[in-house]
Amino acid sequence: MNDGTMHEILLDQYRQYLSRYSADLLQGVCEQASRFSRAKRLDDPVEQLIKTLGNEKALAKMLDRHGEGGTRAVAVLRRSPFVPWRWDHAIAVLESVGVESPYTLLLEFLEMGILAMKRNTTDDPIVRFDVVTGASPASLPLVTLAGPIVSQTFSSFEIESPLPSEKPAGSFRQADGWEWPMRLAILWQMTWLAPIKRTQQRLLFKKDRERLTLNPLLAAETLDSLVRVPDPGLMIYQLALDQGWLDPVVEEQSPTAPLWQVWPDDLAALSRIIGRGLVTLEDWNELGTDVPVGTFSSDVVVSRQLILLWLSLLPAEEGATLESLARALESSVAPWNGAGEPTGPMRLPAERATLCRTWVRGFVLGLLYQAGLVEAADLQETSPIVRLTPRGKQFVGIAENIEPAPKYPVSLLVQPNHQLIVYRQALSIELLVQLILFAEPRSSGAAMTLELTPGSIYHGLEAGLQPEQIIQLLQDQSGRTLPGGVEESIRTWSQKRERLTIYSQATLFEFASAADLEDALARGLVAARLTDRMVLVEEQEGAFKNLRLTASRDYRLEPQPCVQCSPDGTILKVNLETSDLMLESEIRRISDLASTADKQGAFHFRVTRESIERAFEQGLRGEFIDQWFRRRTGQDPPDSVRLLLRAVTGLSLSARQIVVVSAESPLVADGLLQHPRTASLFAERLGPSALSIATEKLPELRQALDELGIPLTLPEANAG
Amino acid sequence: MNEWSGGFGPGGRPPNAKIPVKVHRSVSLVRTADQTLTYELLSRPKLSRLIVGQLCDDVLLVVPEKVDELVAELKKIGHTPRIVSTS
Repeated sequence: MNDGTMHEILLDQYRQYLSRYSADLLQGVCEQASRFSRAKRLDDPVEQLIKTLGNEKALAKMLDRHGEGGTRAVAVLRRSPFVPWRWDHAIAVLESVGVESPYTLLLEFLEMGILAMKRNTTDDPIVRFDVVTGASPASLPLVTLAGPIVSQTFSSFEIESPLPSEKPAGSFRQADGWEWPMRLAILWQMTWLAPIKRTQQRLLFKKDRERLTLNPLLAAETLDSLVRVPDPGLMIYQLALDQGWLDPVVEEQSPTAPLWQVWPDDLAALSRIIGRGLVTLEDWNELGTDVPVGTFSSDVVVSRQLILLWLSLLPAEEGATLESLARALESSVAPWNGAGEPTGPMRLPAERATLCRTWVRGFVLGLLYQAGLVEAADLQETSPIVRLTPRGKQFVGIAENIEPAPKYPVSLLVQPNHQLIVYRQALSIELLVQLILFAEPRSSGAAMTLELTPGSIYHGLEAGLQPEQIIQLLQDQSGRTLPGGVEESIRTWSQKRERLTIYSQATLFEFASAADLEDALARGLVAARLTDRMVLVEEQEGAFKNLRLTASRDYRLEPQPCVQCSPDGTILKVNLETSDLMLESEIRRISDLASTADKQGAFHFRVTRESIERAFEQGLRGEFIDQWFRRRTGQDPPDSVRLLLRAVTGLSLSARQIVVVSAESPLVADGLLQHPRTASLFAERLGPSALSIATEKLPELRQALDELGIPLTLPEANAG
Repeated sequence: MNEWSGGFGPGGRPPNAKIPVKVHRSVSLVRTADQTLTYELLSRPKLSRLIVGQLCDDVLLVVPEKVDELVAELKKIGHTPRIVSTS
């Protein structure tokens, strides 16, 4: 690894892992490692570790205590520098190459800084290197070999390949490596325009699964296809998900960021990231729907890492047959060696052997070949010969510089029918991530075809591009002036967008008077005028320089009570400090303006039978008005308003004459209501001592009271 | 709206004194290029139920939690609104 940039990348990766350690743990690791070095200590423990581990003699001393197993483990781990090793996978790979007690070895490597650890499940600092036995695979930590060890060419870390090396009769064939980046870009645009939806159990809805499996661009056969990749749309989706380019948590999955923010600038660097994703894929695999169940998904990650390891150990310029790769797997690792508890077709040796060869073809000639990491020869033979490409060798940490891709002055053709034809050999990451913002992909064969449409230009503008930027990019990349119609269309479609602007969270300043607003603008407030007293402020920094905040209302919060009812309930007084812009249209639906601002600046509205009738005519109902009063006044509607509500829906009252009998005490009233001679004569009890009686029953009451010896005094009108 | 909603601080103030202002934050708005477009939006029942008021000829107030619904409806009928998420 002579490439200075690669060296820095690996060191940065190591530093990132160490940054998750607690201070005590980091200090402990540093001291452990420093025992093997006599060099002068550095103050920074991370830099001290890097210095110690980059010293071949110090590292040899560290590994001495572990014998051949330690050296072999380092030799294996350094061939996968860009793939974080999940704990269980690292143990399985080391076991398969004959390292004894890999669990203990890995822990000791961690304690000396030879390995670094990262936890998937938490951002809390790592305080110790414990790994819970039996924990779910997803919760197991990731480990990576220290960058200084990978980036040095220590001769002692060479091991032999178990594969017989072969020289092909023909020449090697190599894919351009654009297949997966183009499909990832297409997926990015697809999910940007409409998220992929999953159930709460994180299973794709049928319709969204079909969007991935039936999309003609995602599901198409690869251009330079050596083997059919099953469900490439699902593979691309899982790849994007695993790499964090799609939100992995939510049920509606959209891109987490524009591709230009998360992708590196050159294809070689992106291929390393894609390679990492392909090796660790678990929710998709090369057998497609024929996937055996059980631990297969996890087991094949180990198989992928072993294949890359073995290919990296081949002599330069030589390759290995796919058959030899399959045999090596069958002799060393589950599920292909029948170890563990095989399920389904994997229980039958013949079926297992067939699946093993299908799987190897799928991984090597499907995923790795299209990623540009592997090249193949003798494709007409029963077992083609494969080897790593220069890009593949860089991926596995072998010292190799890659020739930068040639740059072409013209990379696309803009046609008058708004189609863009992009030549693959002239494609760059920079161009791809920009085109995908404002053009719709139509095909991705030998040339990628995209089309400019009103919708695509609109989405480009929504992504933050300006029409001039789009025109300039197309002109620069096509090397000529755009066809007149195309430029005009871009401008016309862009202007259409300016006709409607949605502010989802605007800030408005409301002044007490038009004069105040003019004064504020004259004193430098930058804002767009909406009314004579209200402005839209797009940049709040410095906006309050000459202003005094009298009230503030945040519309993300629930409306506050801002209306007060008068004692008679029919006058509504608006509190302008807590009111909001919606209140006026609401309050005018149920009441009428009664007066302009009073001394405190408040406005009054009156609820009348007419205003309530109008509300009902507009479709409002009593329940809505009840809720409105509770929301805006903090209380139930006043009784007088409820009376109006009942009146509008048809209220009638009746009147009748009664005589009130006043007893001298509640006790007497109780007696009158209980005694059999008088009890049935009274209509109702009006109060503790007051009883009502119908006028026509008065003579009968008088007679009954006479019998009881109780005199009854009547008003003169009833005396007879 | 103009008649009543801003009268929270009447009275004169000394020259160069700070100007009282009421701030409305996180307001959801639609701003149109002209009044005709405003009428068009208000005349569509599916859109008008998402609109709670009219601030002026070219500015409509949107129910705060209904902005996404409004955008989707506008796109469905062929508009390509510029969306400003913060201000």
